[in-house]
Amino acid sequence: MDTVLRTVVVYLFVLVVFRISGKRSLSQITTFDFILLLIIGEATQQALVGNDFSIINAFVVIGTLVTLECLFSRMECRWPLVGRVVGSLPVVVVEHGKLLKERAEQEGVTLSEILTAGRERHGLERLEQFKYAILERHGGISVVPIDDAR
Amino acid sequence: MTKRTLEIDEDLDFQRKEWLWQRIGIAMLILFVLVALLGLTGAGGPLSHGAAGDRGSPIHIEYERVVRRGARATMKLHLRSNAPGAIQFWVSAPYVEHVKIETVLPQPDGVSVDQSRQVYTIRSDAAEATVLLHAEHLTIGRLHGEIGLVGGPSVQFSQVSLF
Repeated sequence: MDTVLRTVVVYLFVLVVFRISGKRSLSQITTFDFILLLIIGEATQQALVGNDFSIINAFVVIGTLVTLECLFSRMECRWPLVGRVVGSLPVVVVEHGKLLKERAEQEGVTLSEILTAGRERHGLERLEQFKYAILERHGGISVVPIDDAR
Repeated sequence: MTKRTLEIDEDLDFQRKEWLWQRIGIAMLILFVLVALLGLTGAGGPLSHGAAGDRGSPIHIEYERVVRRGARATMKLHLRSNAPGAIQFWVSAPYVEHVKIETVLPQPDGVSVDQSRQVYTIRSDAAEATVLLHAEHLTIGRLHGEIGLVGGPSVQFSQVSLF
């Protein structure tokens, strides 16, 4: 019972912390982010298993985590509000070549990052060539070029 | 502005609420870290340090007010005995039921148990001794304890054990 409770608490805490940190926090993983993730993983592992390194304890932890993930996934499908609360919504940050500054600032997206996304995926050179840039739920930037730029 | 042709599940009202909650969440995280620095989440810190008994009295203890279940906490006992050769102190049984005393330094010569307490005997040529108790807390919640010298005064203390 103790392991299940620990796992649920840790799962919810990690969910809240990453939700608070915003969509962009770990979407582009730098070397430092990667190391940070490893440290978080290590700290989480200690909290999950405690001093019990038995195989059955690992099974209980894995089972609980996957069950929680499935439950949230089903809840997101059934109740869209849960999906919004747990996973956020996409936000348009560029519309018809214009940067929507307030949205970009609130989400911590820079013009440079948007232009990079345009260059990488569509070879776009200027912001005017963007029809839309969307900050997706997972933190990535999707770009829709204007028809002439395709 | 040209009409938007993008089919997207965007809701700016919800998004504004989310941004507000994120700011509140970040403020709470900062507060949490500050609280941890002060010692209110255990493992040391200025507000976690507690003491019972007057300095210079036969028994004076230093302990952590906030401890963590499963983690090791140290208690320092400053003891003064009138009987030369050995110092005997006891720890109340209800407290010992909720903690696992892992080590006592210096190592006691003997440990005996009666209904209401565990009695430790430490050989000491001096009248005074400083004893370290390393204990692991087994339960969550508020915990009251009492430590005293055999045939002498005792002090009471209370700790909060976090999950």
